[in-house]
Amino acid sequence: MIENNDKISRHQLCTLLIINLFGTTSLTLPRYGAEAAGTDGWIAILGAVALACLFVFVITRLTKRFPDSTFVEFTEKIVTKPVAIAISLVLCGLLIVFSALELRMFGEIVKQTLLNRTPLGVITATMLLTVVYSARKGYECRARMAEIFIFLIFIPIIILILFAIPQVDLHNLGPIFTTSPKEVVTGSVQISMKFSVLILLLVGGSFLAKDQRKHVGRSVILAVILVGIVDILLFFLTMGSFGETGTVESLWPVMNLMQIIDIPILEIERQDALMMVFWILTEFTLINEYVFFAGIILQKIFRKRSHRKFLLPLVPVIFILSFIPPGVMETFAWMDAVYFWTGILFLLPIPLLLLLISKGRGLKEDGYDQSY
Amino acid sequence: MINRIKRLLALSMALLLLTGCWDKIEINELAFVIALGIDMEEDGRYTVTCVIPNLPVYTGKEGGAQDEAKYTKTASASTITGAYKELTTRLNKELNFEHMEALVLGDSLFQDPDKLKQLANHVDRNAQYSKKIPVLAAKGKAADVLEAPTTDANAVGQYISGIYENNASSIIRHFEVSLQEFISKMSGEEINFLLPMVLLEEEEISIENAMVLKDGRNSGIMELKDMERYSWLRNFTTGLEYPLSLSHGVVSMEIEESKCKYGYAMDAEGRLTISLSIEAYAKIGEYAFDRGDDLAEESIRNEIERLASEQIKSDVTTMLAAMQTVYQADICGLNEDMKFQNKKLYLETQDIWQDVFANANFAVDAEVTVRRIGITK
Repeated sequence: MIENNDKISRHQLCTLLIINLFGTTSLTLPRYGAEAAGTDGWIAILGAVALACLFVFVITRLTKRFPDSTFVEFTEKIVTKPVAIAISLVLCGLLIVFSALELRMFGEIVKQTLLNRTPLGVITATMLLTVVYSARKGYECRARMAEIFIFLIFIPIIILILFAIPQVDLHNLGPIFTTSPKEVVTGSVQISMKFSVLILLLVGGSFLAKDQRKHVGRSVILAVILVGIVDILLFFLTMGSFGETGTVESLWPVMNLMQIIDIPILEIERQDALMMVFWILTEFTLINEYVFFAGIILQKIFRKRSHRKFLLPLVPVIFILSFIPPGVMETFAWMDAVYFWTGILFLLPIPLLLLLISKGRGLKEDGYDQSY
Repeated sequence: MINRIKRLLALSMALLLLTGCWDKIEINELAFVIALGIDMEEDGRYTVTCVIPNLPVYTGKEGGAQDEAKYTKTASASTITGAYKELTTRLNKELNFEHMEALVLGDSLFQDPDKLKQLANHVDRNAQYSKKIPVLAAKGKAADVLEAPTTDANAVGQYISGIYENNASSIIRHFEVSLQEFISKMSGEEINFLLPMVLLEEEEISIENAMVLKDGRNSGIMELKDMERYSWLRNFTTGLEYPLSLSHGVVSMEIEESKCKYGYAMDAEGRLTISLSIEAYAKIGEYAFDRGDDLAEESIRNEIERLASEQIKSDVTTMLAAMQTVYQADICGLNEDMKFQNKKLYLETQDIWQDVFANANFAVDAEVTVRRIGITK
């Protein structure tokens, strides 16, 4: 493995994106869908995926105009340097807050389901130190890890889906098309904010190798659609197994689903602990991504050669931030708020504005590939 | 040199974190609860009974009589968690519920829906329970059932789960309610369902009968015969032995599969009519016939099919009438079925369903086909 080569393929980018999207949506999206639109929550999720594809289209259009520049660099070219730095610092701050909240949520779930005696700080510190160590090694290292992890993640998911199907009571899925269109649309917009991890494409676009830039937008959209399909399947499985009330009341409904499936080959009772392997790997990759890109943004703002010197100082910041929410419900509320504001700013408005300005001013780099 | 020190530091930290586990508990310090029984006392307190195997005797490592292979621990408190805390003052091990095989609820719990909901909330909120385990109602106290001897070395929890697992053709299997199903039903707006019962008679444990819950309260006991009638409504008839009395003997039919289709219509007076169309496929197990008759004769098979159809119609009509008058609850989930069959009617009646159901008319039709007759005519 070549360290710090920092150039990845289209396939690796999509793999990373799939894993990151799973980390943010897989466990909780059925609950959000059921809260938004009841038994029609799958339509809200479908709408959210469509919106996510729109976000991807705009973001990839923007990053393809500046294939060799990171977000900080091309924003400086498009708008003035102080404005670019301000926007970048906001993005960096959001990534740090995201990583802290995801870390906290990871710790809470592990503590409640697996390690109830272990102090929360020990769980989060162990994860954080491992994440930071991995983030120091560069983007290509992470991309190659993702190519291995994807199998470890998808195999349990497929097993989960196959063995959960017999548990489904079709009566729980109805009645359909009874929710008002307004509720479905509102739900779609709210759920699309859960796809906020797509903002990482703003920073990650410059790591794509030169010969991999063709049709990257299309590939990324396919990745989003794949995740959307699995999320809708998980919605049907949880709704069918627990009903609307059970899905809405459960904090992590997919985890409950893991607890009720019957795998004949495995004669163990806590199989949900095994199935959590995939979720822990996605969380690791996700937090890793946030920390890595926060370091990259700081590197570019302060014009340093490497992002590594910014990572260790982030450790205490993230660790302390992760302890600020008093409890699990507050963590959920904070995450919802941060996802919302991130989405409001960085999923569409800012990238669209930057794209329009760059098009208006004719700004683009030599490696610009017009294909989609 | 600095790099070497950094690497050594990182390795040491990794070793510190990887060599052990904060949550590590030695296996001989765990009390594995195989079955859990919960009763409610007159003052509203929960009494929790845990069946714990005595592992050295259970595994044969130490000698001991069969009844020494397990022991029970009981505690009472106003909450279930409080009862566990009370147990810890008398138990030298940590309770572990990850290998629990059955949850038995005493019949006193079914007099107070709020207490039952609190119990359901407890098991839902705690990840330590396997949501696949069967939940049963006890006739009398759950503690008495759990302390009963079993015919083999298995503790009661394993005995109960064994009855379900190893009797796939029994209709009792279809009535099994898992912990997750119990939690889902208890969180619904109307708590109307059947819960299988575990009986202790002459020191023998059996799973027979079902408790009918209406609004979370015991509304009656459904005996095995009624359970067989009910099974037609839920397609639970696979393996059902359905004897038919003929003039010259009894025909033993085993139902291989059946399908009940429902239709819903509201008449001009606002009264719901529910039509049931049952198709069943059966095989003949025993048939005593006069000399010269055999089941190859189509007329004889047709006669058996006709009689079986009529008997099914009668049984199903009796059960539906009992649901309306005796149990006074839709324990079949007919309104759930309406969600897809007649969405408009479902939305109109969902808030007043129990009243609509109480006054509904039923039209039952049944058709039986003898698919197999064994290896002789």
